[in-house]
Amino acid sequence: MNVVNCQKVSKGFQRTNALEDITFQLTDQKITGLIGRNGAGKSTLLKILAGLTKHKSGEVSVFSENPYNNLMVSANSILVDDQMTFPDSLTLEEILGSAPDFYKRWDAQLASRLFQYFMLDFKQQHSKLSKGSKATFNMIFGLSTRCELTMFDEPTNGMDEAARTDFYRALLKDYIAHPRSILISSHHLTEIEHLLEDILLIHQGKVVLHQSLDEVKEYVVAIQGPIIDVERWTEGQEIFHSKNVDGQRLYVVVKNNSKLERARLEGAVIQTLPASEVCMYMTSETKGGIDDVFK
Amino acid sequence: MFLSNSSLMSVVLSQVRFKLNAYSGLVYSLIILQLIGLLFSTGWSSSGTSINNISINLNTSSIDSGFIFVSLLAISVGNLITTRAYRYDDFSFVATRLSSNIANSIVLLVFSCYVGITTYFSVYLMRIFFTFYSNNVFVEGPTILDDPMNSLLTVLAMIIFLWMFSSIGYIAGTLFQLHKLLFFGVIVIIVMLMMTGTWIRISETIFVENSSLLILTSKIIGITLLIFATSTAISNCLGVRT
Repeated sequence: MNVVNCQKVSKGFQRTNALEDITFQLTDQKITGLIGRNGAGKSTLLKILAGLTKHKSGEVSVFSENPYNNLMVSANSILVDDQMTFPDSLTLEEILGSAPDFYKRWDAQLASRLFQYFMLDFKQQHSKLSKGSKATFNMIFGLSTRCELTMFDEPTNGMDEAARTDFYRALLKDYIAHPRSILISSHHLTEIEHLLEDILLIHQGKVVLHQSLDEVKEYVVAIQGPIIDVERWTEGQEIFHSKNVDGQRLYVVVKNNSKLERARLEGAVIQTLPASEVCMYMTSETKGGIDDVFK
Repeated sequence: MFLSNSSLMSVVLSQVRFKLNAYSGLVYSLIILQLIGLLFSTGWSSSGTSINNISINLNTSSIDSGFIFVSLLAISVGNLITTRAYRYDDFSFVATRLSSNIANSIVLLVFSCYVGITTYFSVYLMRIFFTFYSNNVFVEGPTILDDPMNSLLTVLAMIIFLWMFSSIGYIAGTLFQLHKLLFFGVIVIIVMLMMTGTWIRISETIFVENSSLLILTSKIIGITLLIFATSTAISNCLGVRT
């Protein structure tokens, strides 16, 4: 069953188009990575799915219903981001204490064990927490709700290295124990790669890729060889990235295709790339790199 | 996939419980305001007469000024809970704009009850104060035992008036959240309307021409519910965490 179904969803702010014709489906019980560069529209998309903002056109359904102002969707989904707020008049302990009232499947034991592990102060106020501790608390809150659709928007912003690693481990363990749909946005794909089954890559408000991690890794390849040869091998193909290696050799990233077999026989060095680099090249604006700026 | 189903009623109740717990700090500002109100009540109106070198001064004091203070509090609290921080808090838990607005209006009603009752009984505090710390002799004042029905009706009317004031603060806050210019535009229109004869006629029918306090109270309840419904409709376009 589809948990999320988006058909040609658009959302614009005053001058910019945050999302344009977004179409994708998320199936049940998968961890999907929402990847994109700064300003790609990741947060906007998540807010629409959580029912916090309204989309302009197209059709969004979460659990087969429009998420905006929908009680059922709100009860079964949660968006954890750094803008989550809690009343200052309550301590963290009281906040966790009032959660079971709202979330029927709240796991109080998990919450308190994670709370103790990350050494948060029960008597502290939410707004007084440091950036990293706030992110940790929000993460604990999000995981403990056990919502059927759990969304994290840059959950590890502000967390230190150890906390990040622990968070990903906790997420994976809890997911294995209680499978549900998790959508996690990040611009550090390398960090979350080992968690993900699917990747949803968006760029400038459009879906670029929505495939399994393995398919993404094989989507593009890098070819290296003498300039003339590489230009011949990649003729007529879309070049995602090209770099002059030492004045004589060229390093080019192109879409994986059958023609490259011949190039391999002719001595081309062809290598697959890690998923993070695939995503980076597919969303880069210019064919050159940052080095070209300084030429 | 297991989806939990929450009814609107149960979510509203959870929200009310949560809000009453979270906003309990507002009680302190209420107590301070009531004390200030009591201080102002000592500036009473007096009438005097003098017969054969004996002068009698009759001083009347009431909780009116106290009521004015808590009414201002009601408006500001109504306004306060529409601000961004309070609105966003709701959406960290299960909420829709409808449930959140219903919960807010119930919470404001509960606060109005609390404020109405304490303000009504603050008159007894005032009497104790006069008895012990004033040169004047306390003569008489209506007590709840003299006319229980009417006293209760007075408390009820106070509560409902406070609820209406809070709803005015609430709708003003909601409009302000929607668009600042729109808010000022609406204020200007309302002020202009108030100066017209029709408006005066309407307000006379609502507030003045009432055969009993009960009729006035029910009219005010109607107005308040209308204001909250309008606020709910307006807040449906408000985004969260934007």
